Amino acid sequence: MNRLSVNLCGVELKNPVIAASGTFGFGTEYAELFDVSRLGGISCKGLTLGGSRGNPGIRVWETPSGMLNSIGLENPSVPVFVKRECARMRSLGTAVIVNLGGHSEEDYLRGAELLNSADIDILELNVSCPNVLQGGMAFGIMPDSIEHITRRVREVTRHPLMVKLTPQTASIAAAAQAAQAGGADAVSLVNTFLGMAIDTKSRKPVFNNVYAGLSGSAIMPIALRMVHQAAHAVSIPVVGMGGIATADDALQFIMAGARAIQVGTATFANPTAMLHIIDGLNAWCAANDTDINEIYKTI
Amino acid sequence: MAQIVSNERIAQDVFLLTLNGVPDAHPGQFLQVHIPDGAMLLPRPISVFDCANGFTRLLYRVVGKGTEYISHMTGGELCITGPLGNGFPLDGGSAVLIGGGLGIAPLRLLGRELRRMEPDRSITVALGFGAEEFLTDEYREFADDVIVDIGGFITDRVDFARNATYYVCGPTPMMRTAAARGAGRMYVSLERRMACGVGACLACSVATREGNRRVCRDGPVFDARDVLWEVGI
Ligand SMILES: Cc1cc2nc3c(=O)[nH]c(=O)nc-3n(C[C@H](O)[C@H](O)[C@H](O)COP(=O)(O)OP(=O)(O)OC[C@H]3O[C@@H](n4cnc5c(N)ncnc54)[C@H](O)[C@@H]3O)c2cc1C
Ligand SMILES: Cc1cc2nc3c(=O)[nH]c(=O)nc-3n(C[C@H](O)[C@H](O)[C@H](O)COP(=O)(O)O)c2cc1C
Ligand code: FES
Repeated sequence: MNRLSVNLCGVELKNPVIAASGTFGFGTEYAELFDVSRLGGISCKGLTLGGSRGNPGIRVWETPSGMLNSIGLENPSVPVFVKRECARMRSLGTAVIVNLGGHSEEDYLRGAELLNSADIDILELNVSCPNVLQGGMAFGIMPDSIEHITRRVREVTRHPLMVKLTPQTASIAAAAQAAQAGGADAVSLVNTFLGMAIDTKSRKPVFNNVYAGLSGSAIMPIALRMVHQAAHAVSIPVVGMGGIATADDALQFIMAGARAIQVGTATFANPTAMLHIIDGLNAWCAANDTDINEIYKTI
Repeated sequence: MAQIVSNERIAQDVFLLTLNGVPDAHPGQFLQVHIPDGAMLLPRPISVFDCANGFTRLLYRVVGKGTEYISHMTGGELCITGPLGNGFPLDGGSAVLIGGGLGIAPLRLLGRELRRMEPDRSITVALGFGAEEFLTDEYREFADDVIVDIGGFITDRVDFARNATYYVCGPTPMMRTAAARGAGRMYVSLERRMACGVGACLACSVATREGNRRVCRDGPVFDARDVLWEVGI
């Protein structure tokens, strides 16, 4: 009996554990290290219509219990993904989630249109990338613009639509409600928190863009609080993430109202972290003679 | 999991770590060394200095908290991912190996392997140290000529006009100088901050003539002519 299968906006996941966008490529690299078909799903590296070379300079920096990144959405472009990566990702035997970023409304709409021809399970609309100077997070800060971009993309895409929210917003509940009002089938949160580091030897910011995105255990309690707030503000499913590294972390998010969870940074510390989480969730459910859906949103 | 066999201090802040249980590496490959007890999030990339009979040796300098942590370990286990990366192409004919600082590390396994492939070829090794030399005898085992420089520019001591393959590893300015002086075949082993180490996160991209490449997976070894040095490493 599978105690872990969950339904996420119409898509059956074998378990609620999904690899977070930007930390797992298109799934093929880690497929050499472990059996990625055991995962509930994979969210691919954030794509943009025309592709990008990403940011120059230092791109990652370790912090206490976390890390800052300023990758800058380096990606091969939506058309190249559709042509070269999509079928390979599908063959990995797990749900395929495509993370779509953009610099303008036009970018998002054309990207979403092109992805209509692709065999994917969920479109994750990234209105929350802190590392691109134009667009990205700018679409995700104000509820009005979240609702607007969600509605426009909802009109063109044939896939279930999940909107990925930034924590850089006045009210995460209002942001989630805006996505729901725009027609989103789910929301995912959180993307990284805007942070900063200074190299005191050179007396310069570490990152060319000065600010960068903070992820990892350091953000977990804040992300958990935000997932709890969002989950109690909307009726569409919430996918929770931010610093999840163990089965206990995942259980906390699920109890707080996450239908599924994503794991990013923890995979860098331990490439098989997600398998440990899945095994741990299974063991916990067996020990408590329960199903993962029974503890969902119990707090 | 790899077992720590020994971890000796061989110079100021420089250690030689011997591990058992790591798969054999191709010359120029590296390991992601996970710091135990969750003390630090990101694994540290360290080149394979040598491997034989199931024993893998790493040569590292203590520069921060991760290498400091490892330097205090005298036994027990280390979690390792790898060997990773492409490693050096093993060309035929004469070879010149140039290392600066801890960039000498991958050249030991490289030189040994080049010698094993072609016992009669000419192998020159040029090693640049900051303050004191160490382990130079390990290079004399396979090299016809070992040039040692302390405190200067090792690239000033090398003849770049030979009909040979040049293999270079060291600080970026040194590799950049070598690339500018070399005319023929030259491979450089680049260094970038990493997160995943397997090609999934794009933390380690570098600009090349063929577009962005990942140091951890497409590298760390690149043809010196392909690297767009002016864009910055
Ligand atoms: C492919 C490759 C091979 C390497 N081989 C060797 C080797 O054989 N011997 C050796 O002594 N060193 C080697 N290095 C450099 C080594 O990775 C760093 O010295 C080490 O990561 C420093 O860790 P720390 O915790 O002591 O320093 P900290 O400064 O405390 O580290 C903080 C973070 O920055 C990263 N970092 C710091 N310096 C570097 C650097 N120079 N390159 C990449 N990441 C860095 C760390 O990995 C860590 O994530 C290699 C680097 C690369 C990319
Ligand atoms: C190196 C790196 C790259 C990322 N790239 C993306 C991206 O392309 N698109 C996106 O929506 N989120 C991206 N993220 C954010 C993660 O998907 C996730 O929201 C965040 O890291 C919090 O989860 P974690 O603490 O488990 O990593 C990235 C995170 C990291 C660390
Ligand atoms: S370190 Fe992640 S791609 Fe190279």
